[in-house]
Amino acid sequence: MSLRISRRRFLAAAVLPTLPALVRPARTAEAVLRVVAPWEYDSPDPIETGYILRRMGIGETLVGVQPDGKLIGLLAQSWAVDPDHLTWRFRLRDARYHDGTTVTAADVAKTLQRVRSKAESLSAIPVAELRADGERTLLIRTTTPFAPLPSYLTDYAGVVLAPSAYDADGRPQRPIATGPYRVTAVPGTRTIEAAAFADYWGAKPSIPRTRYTAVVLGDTRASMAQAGEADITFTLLPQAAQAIERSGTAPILRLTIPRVRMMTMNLRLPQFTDVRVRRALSLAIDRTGIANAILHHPPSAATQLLPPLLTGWYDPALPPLKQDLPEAKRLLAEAGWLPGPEGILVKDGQKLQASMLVPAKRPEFPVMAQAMQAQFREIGFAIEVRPAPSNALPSAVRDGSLQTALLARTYVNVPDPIGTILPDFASDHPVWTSPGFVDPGLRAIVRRYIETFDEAALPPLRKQIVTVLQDQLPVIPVSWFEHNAAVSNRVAMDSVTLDPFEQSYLVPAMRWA
Amino acid sequence: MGLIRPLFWRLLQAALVALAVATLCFAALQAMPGDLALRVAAARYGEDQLGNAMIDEVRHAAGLDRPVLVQYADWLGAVATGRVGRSLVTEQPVLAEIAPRLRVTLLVGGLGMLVSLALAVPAGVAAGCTAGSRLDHAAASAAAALASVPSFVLGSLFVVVLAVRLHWLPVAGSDTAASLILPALALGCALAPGLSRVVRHGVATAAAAPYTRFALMRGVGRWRAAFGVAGRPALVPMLAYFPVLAMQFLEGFVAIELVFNLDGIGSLLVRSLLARDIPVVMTAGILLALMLAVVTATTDIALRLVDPRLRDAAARAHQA
Repeated sequence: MSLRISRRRFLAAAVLPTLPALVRPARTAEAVLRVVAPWEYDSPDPIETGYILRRMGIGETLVGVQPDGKLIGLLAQSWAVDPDHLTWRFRLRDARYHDGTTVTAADVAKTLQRVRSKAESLSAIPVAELRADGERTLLIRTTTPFAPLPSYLTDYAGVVLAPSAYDADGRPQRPIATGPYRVTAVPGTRTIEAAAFADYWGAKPSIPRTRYTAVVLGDTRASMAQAGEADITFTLLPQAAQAIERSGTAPILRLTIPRVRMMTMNLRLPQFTDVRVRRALSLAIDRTGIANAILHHPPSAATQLLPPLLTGWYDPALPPLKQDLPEAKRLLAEAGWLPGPEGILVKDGQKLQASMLVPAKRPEFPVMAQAMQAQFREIGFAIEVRPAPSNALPSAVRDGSLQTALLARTYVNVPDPIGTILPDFASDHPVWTSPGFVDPGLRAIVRRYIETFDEAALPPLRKQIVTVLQDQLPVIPVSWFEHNAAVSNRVAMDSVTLDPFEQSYLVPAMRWA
Repeated sequence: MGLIRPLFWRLLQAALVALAVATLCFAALQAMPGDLALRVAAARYGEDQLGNAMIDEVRHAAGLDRPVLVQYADWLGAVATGRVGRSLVTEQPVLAEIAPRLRVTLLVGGLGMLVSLALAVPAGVAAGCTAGSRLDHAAASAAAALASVPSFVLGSLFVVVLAVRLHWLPVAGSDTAASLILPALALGCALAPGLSRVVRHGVATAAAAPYTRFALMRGVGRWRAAFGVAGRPALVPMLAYFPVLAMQFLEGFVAIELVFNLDGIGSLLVRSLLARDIPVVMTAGILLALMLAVVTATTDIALRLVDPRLRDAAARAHQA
C-alpha cells in the first residue's frame, strides 16, 4: 500500500507550526507587477538608494535619459545656457509631489545643495551658484564652462523629495517624490509597494500597482522567475538565465551595456610602466573564450573600452582588442623582459609577476581570474589571484598596495561616459582605476570636451579619447556586461525595454499581456 | 531562593561576555585591513558612485578620524546611557535596523527549532529505546546523512522541488505564513541530526540504567517506567544540549537567510561586517551574546528543576 500525501494535507501539516505568523493575512492575488532585483532599499536617502526609486518610476531627477541616449526633461521642462557658457536656467514643470504639494525651484535647489558634495557626479560640477530664480526656475552658475551639466543632473542622488519627506534635521525619512508611481508601503528593506500617482505630470502608467522585491542571491532570483513568483527579474547570472530560458517559464531579454569588466594595474610599478607590457597583457587575454565559456554571452567580449551601443563612444575603426600570443611575446621581449626560471619573464632581476585582487561578490570573477592567470602564464607573466571584497580595490589604490585587480566599472553613472572618464583617467586621485596614469594630452582633450557646447564638435573629441585609451591601455578591458531580465508571460514582452544606462526599469511603459 | 544566586552570577557573566564581545568586534573591525571610512562610504553610496570627497566626508562626519580609543570610549559611554547610536551606512537608529530583523530571525529560528524537535525527538526516542537494533542503525545513518548536507544545499533542494517544480510553497520571503515553511524546514533538518543523537543517547542510557531495570524488576509497567522513571534522566542531556543548538542555529542561519531571502539578523551582520558598520556590528554582537546567555541561564535553571542531583549539589555548596 503506498502512502499518498495530498498537497492540502502537506500544507496543513506544514502550516501548523507557523500559526503565530498567521496573524498577518496573506495577500490577495491582485494584478500587481512583481519586480525582483538584487538591491535593497536600506535607506530613505536618495544619495544611497535613489537609483531604486528612479528605476521603479517613483523618484525623478531634473533630467533623465532615454534608452537611445537622448536626454529628456523630467522635472525640468526645458533648459538653456547663457552665452557666457556659465549660467544655466532650468525651467521646471508644473509637477506635484505624492503628498499633493507643488514642486518648487527652491525645493530642487535645496535638494541639490544637500547632495552635491556627496554624490560623485554632482560633486564634479564646478558650481559657483545654485539657487531658485523665481518659483519655477532653477539657476546654476558654474565657475568654468561645463557643457555636460544636464547629463550630470541625471545623477540619482538628485532625486527630488517633498519637504515633508525630511525630518527636523533635514534627513530624508520617507520616499515622497514626484514619479508616476507613489509608494504605498515599505515593509522592511526588501520590499517597496507602489501605486500609480493620479496627479503625475506625464503619461499615466498602464499597470496600476507594483511591488519591488530585493533578492540578494542570484539563484533565489532565478528560482522566483522559474516558479512564476516574479513578473520581471533583473540581473540574472548567465547560467541561471540559460536555465530559465531552457525551462520555457520566462523569456530572457539581453543587452550588452557600458559596464566593463576590466583589469587595472598600478602603473607606478616597474612591471606596468611600459605600455608595451600592458599591450602584451591585453594580447594574452582570450576574451572570446571567456565570453563564451564563462559568461555564456559571446557579444560580451570587449573589443575596446565601451560597447557598440554607445555609438558616440564606440569607434569601429579602432583595431579591436584580441588575443595574439606571438605578438604579446614579441612586445615583452622588445620591452626587455627575458625568459627566467619556471617560465616567468625577468628584467633587471625583477620577475614579471603581480597579485590580482578579485572581488568575491561577483561569481564569474574568480573563474575569469583563473582563466586569465592561465593565459598570462603562457606569455611568462605570473599572477597570484587574491579574492577580496569589491571595495578593497579603492583601499588598495589609496594606500598604494594595488598591483592588479579585476573589477567591474560602469561608464554611465551619468549618460555621458565623460562623467566616468574624467575621474578615472584625467584626475590626480582616481578611486576605481589604475593609479599612476598621467597623460597630459588626454587630460587636455577631456578638458576641451567638457568646455565644448557645440554638439557637432564632440564626436572627434570622443574619437580621440577612445583612441588614447585603446592605445595606452591604462585599464585592460576584458568584457562588457550583459544586462538581462526574465519576463513572465503575464507581461507583454513588447512593452519591456532594457535601459542600457541602468537608470530606469521603464515600468510605466509596461502593460499586461 | 536557590535559583536567585546562580541567576545573579549568570547575569553578571552575561554582562561581561557582552562587553567582551563588543570590544572584540570593535577591535576586529579596526584591525581589518583597508580604510574603514572607504568601506562605509562604498556601502552607503554604492561602489559605482564612490569618490574621494565622499570618503573624507564620511570619515569626518562619522568621527572615524578621531583616535580609536576615543571612539571606543565614546561608544561605551553612550551604551552605558542606553544610546547605541545610528548606523554608519544607513544613518538610521541602530535599534531600528536590528529590531525587525531580529524578529524575523527569532520567528524562523523558533519554527526551525520546533521542526527539529518534531524530527529529532521521535527519532531519538525510537532509536534509544531499541538501542543496537536495525532501527537504531537506520536512525544513525539518516542523521549522519542529514548532518553531512550543508543547510544551504538542503534549502536549495527544497526550493527546487517544493517551490519551483511542485509550486506548493513560495520560493522566498517572510511576509506570509507559507513563505516561512521552507526556511523552517531547512533549519529544522539542519539542527535535527545532532539533537536526535543526543536524545537517543539520553534515552538509551536511562533505559539501561539500574534504576530503570530495578523498576521493571519490581513490576512497574513499561510506560510508567519509561515516563515516570527513565523520562526525567533522559531529558537532562537534551536540555543541556539546547545552548549548543542555539549556537548551531546562529551559525547556520546566515545561509538560510540568504537562500530564502530573509531579511534577518544574520544577513544584517554579514553586510555590516563587510561595510564596517561598527555601531550595528557591536550592538548586534551584544544582543546575540545576551541571547545566548539567556538560553544558557534558562537551560541551567531548567536542569536544576529537572535534575535533583544538581539542586542537592548547589544546596551543599551553599551550606559549605
